Amino acid sequence: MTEPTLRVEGLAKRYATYRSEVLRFATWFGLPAKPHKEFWALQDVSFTLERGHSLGIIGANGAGKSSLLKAIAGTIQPTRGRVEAHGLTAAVLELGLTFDPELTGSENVELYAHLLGMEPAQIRELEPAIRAFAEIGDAFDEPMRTYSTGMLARVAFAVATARRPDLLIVDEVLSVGDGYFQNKSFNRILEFRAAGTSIVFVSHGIEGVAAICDSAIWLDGGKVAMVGPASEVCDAYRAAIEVAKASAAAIAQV
Amino acid sequence: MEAKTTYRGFTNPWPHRRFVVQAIRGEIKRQFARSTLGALWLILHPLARAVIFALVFSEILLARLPGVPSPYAYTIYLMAGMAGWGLFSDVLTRSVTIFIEYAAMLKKAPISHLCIPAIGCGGALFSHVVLLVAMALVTSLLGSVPGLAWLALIPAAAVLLLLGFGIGLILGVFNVFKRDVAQLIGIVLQLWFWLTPIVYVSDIIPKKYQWIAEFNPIWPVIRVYQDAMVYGTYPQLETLAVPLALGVALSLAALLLLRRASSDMIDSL
Repeated sequence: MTEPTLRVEGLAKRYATYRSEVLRFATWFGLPAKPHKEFWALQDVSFTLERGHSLGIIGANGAGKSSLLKAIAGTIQPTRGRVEAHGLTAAVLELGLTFDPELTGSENVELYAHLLGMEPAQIRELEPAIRAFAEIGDAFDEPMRTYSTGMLARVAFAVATARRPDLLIVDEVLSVGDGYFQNKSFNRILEFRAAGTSIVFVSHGIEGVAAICDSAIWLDGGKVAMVGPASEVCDAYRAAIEVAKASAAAIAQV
Repeated sequence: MEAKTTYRGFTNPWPHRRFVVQAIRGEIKRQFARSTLGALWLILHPLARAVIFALVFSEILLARLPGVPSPYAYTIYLMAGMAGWGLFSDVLTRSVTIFIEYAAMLKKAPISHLCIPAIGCGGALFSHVVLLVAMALVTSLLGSVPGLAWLALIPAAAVLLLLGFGIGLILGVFNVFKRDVAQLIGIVLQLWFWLTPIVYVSDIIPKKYQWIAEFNPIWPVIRVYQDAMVYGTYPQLETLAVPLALGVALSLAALLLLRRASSDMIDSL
């Protein structure tokens, strides 16, 4: 089993706009239509992630972090390139935002557990642990419209990580939790990693990436600006931010 | 290079079947959350509509159903036609807008896109079954106890479901990119409703307009509902052949379209 958990090769994602939507419809049937505007959210992104390793993805807003995550999770189709993931994948992509507000926490957990492909018996078995991990008390049986964002994130993380996946994809979702829960979630991620789970972690907070990731990718304008050991990439990124800040300050003074 | 990806948009929906069932339960629950009468509204709306039409047409315009002595026959005729039509139009309108309703989930969860219209169809079918049970009670009270002919409603409902799903899904895909589609379909459905002999009987259509009814693929299916509920006669199921073939063809076309469009759809939602 030397196969990497995740292999991304020459990944590119293009968002196209057409002068008329009719032209877009034409492309579905193989008719040639030139897009009016093209936006490449990702270009030529390649990397592999070995079993039990963790990879951080950093970069400014709009650098392509979310697109990369979605392409790995399988919610968007790459325009070019390939993504191969082996084993069970679990994604915590701002999952909280897709809960049904009228259903209770417990019912939403069931809904998502089904979505993650769990069997009813397994869900019944795991439910107490999910409830315990989320630590939101009796609110677990209340409709989710009464929840705060942090509570949603707690339930989302608890259900997505109820089983140890082979590949765990974690978005900014943790940043909405309080310090206590963030810490608890980090610990679970580290436990999973020790047990062999590969982790893809996206964050604006460089500290988080530096703390839990072995390697990191710095995305800039959809392209890989740097890839390497997490500490080196984070240092370089931090330096680039300082430069940008300084030049912004210089411009402000002029 | 051979494109091999984890993209789940157009994959086998079967592994997600339990999710679909749970989502349908959620839909039903959400519809009636915080209302006192709850699921009763599922029945009250269509029944009230039929009663209002019946009052206006039979009491004010003195419409009677030719050849049936019961004074309630026209009311039952209306309810039968409207029940059938209701299933078709519910499935269709839900399918048109369902991708937009579930946009947040589609963008964040790797789920087969085929599950989403299935949720809409399931919800509409559930309402329909509840309505049919209520109608069986109402028609019994009005003196015509449901007979075995009602069994013909099962294939008829299946055909309506297929037709509504096929048309709705095709339009639903386009509606993601051009939201005018959903608006337009509301008007088209109203016209279609009045072109179908639901409120009136087909005999009163002038000769020169008969072809419209002949051409209407919904009409033979609605007639099965009316035959079973009003006249208690076994419908000629062979009349369902053409609508069935059309429903299958449209549904297949819709799936092919979804396959081509699913990636663009996610990018545009």
